[in-house]
Amino acid sequence: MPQRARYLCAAVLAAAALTAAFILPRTHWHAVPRAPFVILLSLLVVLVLTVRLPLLRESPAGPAMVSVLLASVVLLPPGAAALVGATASLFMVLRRADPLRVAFACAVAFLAAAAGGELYTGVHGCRALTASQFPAVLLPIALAMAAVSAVPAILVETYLVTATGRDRALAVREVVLNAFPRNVAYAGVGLLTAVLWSDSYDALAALVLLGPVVVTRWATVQAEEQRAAHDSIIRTLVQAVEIKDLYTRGHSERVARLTGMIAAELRLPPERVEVLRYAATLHDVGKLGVPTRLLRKTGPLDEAEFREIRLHPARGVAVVGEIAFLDEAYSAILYHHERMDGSGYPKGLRGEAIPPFARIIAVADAFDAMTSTRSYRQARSVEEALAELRACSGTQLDPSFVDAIISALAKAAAAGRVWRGDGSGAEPGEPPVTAAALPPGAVVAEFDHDDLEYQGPSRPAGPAHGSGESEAEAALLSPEAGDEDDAGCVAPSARRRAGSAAAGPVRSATEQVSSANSSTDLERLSGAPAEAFEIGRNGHSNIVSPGVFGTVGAGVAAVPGAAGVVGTTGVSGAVDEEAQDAAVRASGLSLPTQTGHDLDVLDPAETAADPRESR
Amino acid sequence: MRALRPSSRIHAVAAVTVVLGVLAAVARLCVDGPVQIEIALVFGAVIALGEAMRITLPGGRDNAPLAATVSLGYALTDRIGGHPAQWSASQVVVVVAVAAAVGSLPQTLAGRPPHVGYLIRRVGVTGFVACIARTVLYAQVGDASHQEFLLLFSALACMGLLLDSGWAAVFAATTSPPLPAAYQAPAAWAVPAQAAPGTEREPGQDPAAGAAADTGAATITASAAASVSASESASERGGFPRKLSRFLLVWVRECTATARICPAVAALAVALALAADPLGLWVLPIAAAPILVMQRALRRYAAIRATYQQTIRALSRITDLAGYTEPGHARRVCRLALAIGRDLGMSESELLDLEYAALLHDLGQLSLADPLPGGATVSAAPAVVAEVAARGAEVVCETGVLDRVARLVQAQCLPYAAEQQQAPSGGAADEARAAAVLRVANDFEDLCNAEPGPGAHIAALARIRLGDGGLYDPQAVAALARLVRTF
Repeated sequence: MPQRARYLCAAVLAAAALTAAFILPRTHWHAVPRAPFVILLSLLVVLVLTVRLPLLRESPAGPAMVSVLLASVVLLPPGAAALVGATASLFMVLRRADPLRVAFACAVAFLAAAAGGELYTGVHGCRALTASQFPAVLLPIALAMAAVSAVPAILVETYLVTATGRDRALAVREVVLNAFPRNVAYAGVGLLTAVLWSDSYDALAALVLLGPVVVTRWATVQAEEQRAAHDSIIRTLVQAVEIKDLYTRGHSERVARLTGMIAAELRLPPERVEVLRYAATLHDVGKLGVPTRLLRKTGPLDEAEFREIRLHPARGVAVVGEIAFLDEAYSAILYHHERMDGSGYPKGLRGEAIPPFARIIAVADAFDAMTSTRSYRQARSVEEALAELRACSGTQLDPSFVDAIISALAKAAAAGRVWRGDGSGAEPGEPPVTAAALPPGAVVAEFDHDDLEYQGPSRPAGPAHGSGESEAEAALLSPEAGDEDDAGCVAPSARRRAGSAAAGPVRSATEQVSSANSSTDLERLSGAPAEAFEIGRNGHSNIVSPGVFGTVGAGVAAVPGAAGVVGTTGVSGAVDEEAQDAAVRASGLSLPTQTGHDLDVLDPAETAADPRESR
Repeated sequence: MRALRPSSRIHAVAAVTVVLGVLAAVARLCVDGPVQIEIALVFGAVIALGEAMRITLPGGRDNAPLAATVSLGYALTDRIGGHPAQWSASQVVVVVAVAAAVGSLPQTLAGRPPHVGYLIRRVGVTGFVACIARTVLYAQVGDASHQEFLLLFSALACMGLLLDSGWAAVFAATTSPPLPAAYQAPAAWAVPAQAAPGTEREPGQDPAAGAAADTGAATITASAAASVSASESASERGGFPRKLSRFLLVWVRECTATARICPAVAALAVALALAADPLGLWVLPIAAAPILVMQRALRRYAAIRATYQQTIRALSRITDLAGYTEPGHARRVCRLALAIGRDLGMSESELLDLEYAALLHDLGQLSLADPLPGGATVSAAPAVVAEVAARGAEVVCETGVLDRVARLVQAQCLPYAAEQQQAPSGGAADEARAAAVLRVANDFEDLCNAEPGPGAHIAALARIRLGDGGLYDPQAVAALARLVRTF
């Protein structure tokens, strides 16, 4: 609990103590009616013990308590009413609540009941409530209702602002639109009870209190549970889907957190933040419809293939199109690859024409793509990534949202929550988004459509196409490896070797290769797959298993041989192809047809490498 | 306006009775003349408002707590603002009927008409309570103490609400409850092969082969039809006791479904009726405020739950999108599994689990590197099927909130006989039954898909019956046979 929150608690406690010192001695305890005191107190104790505590907002003098407090304000002298509230709140100790919170709750209940009671007696002048006094007596009752409702609403929200850093505007909104009206409505139940009680129905009237209180609590709890379940199911299913894709483990979750931070920075209302987070979580779900062949492809994509990739936003919308509340999310998912200058897809929208949510997700998407490890490069530091975002803002990304993510990350860092590539540091208490341990037998992914550098087939970015971390590969692919501005195209054969050899455990693959190939080839290869596999082991790279969840069928044993064969076939023609590639590179062209041809060669081999085939 | 049309004979009879009752009340009111018109108008307005704010609770139940409370309160009120309440039971019926009709207008115009059974219940139950209270009770116990009144009113209100859910149960037991709208896509299921036309029987195909297939299908059709009629006669042998027990079961279910709301409505209605004496018409806003808060909480709950279901339905399309299953497969399986489950009398929560499990049952196929032919697990090797089930269950289990669904997804691959040995009793037996239903529905759908054509479902049923040896739950197969008859 922050220091300021402690001060607030202390102040509220002191205020309650002062009020108690003033009110309690004035109370004629022998004149307090026994039955209402005992029954209302026990009712409140039951409520405190049964109503769920976890939500801070609900715990001290929640709406259920307000109704009982109002009944006691009308039926009892102020001192007795305040004592009912404070005593009942003490029972929270039994629910193992934080002692300071219990004290705070007692003080709040005491102050609310005391304020209501004093107002009521002050305006009304006497305690007795008879039929003849209506409707004149409604004014003091309304004042008491307002006091009993407002005091807890305001104090609890103030506490939330100081303790959890909740936004002030949000807190005011919550009090005015939500907490206060709800408390007043509940006070109405208390009023009905009090009226019936004083109209000679006595203790039976307390029955009235229970119905609506129980229902509302039940419905609220259910709604919370369903919401949590909904969150969790979307997250889990999207994660399950992600494993099919090459690089996206945890990507959706991290993008959701980043968009959440941006939204907080922009002070969006909570409902919109919720929709935005769902949109961010689901933004890549359409990539499921992209053929696995493309997602696992280890070369640059030709125009037709890239067209397939470009369909994924529309496919995503096809999936979530039926989730009614996500209205605003559809357009966000559909347009999250649009760019400010109109060079994005699917529609080539420009500037403000792109829905704001889509622009926010685009910023978070690009940032996460850069700060998480890819097979062809290490994760960049946050500073580098932000510099890149700034460079792209205006042309690709919306400058205002880039500014928002920069200041959001700066604020988080200032609060000691530095963003790391694994998504930890977004919000307090959120664990890093870690992927499950990778199964053996993985194919290295070689491109990432989210990367700002990846421009599609027309302008393949240099480092996106080789195992940039591998020195041997770098030597083979030099001079372009490592510099994004170089538009050279990497030899498909080399890429294929690296990718396919990594499909199996390293040693067997290289052994196979060495038996079939020249020593130069072996030299070139020996570093690459080992490196790629190492990256695979560390858990955040773009390695995908043949099956979504690891090994379907126990075909792992078959992988080395098969992978070795792939490596062999790939390498055998390498020299010729390299010469060809070099020629094309020199002319500055990419190799769409060549790539297509390669694909044909590669496909059956990849299929053979698939462990399932051997089953 | 489909929902306004009566969907069974009992509906029609009840509707006619209520309409006649309302007409009689109007006639009576015309003769006697309305009294305390302002009060009637205010109450009527609040009831209409409550009807306009009607909510649909999970399970498709219409509910308007505000309208229910205020109309019960109007029926029970003995004195208001210090004066005796002089309105008759017929006036109560007329006010409530008119208010309910007026209040239903906005939602009807918005395309969400109330179910006819709902209106019947609202007017009928209020009229019943008003008759007892205003004609019998006040005459008999006019000098009872306040506390006795409170207890009597509470008993009466509870009785009225029990009657309400009883009627709901009658309607539910005599009509098949509507499937969730998402599964009502017409013709999507009746001819599942529509999704992939021309895959099986090309126009240029060998006619002799087609003819042979036709005769084969005809034989299977005949045998299947015979078995259908046999099972049908077996199912209808129950007679009245069976119907009664079924009705009681549904009644209990209706009561538990509204168990949270009914006590609150009863308590507030009684409080409203009694507090009307000192408070006068002020009682209406004071009592309405907590109900509105309650209604808002319920509405939020219903909305989130609906979103949750929508999300699962939407995510069930993931396997379609990824090319692992035929488009709409999960939904068709879900629809069929729900229909079978209903036929077997599964409870609402079981049906919900079954629904989710059916929607997510093929999720594990994502773990396959290559899609199964036609996405059909029925013809795949048992090891693959078990793997698909296990992987799917793993993912569902990971959500942490769908444990039972995960168990169903896991168990869908087990043959019925094996399951029976593993799970002999209690909740586990219910789960085993649900898993068996899921299996039957999925295999039937796969078979229909594999061999499309006009008689596909008959042939598929026949194949399921042939492969019956311990593989499928005989009860589920019998239910399937009953359903196939209606296609």
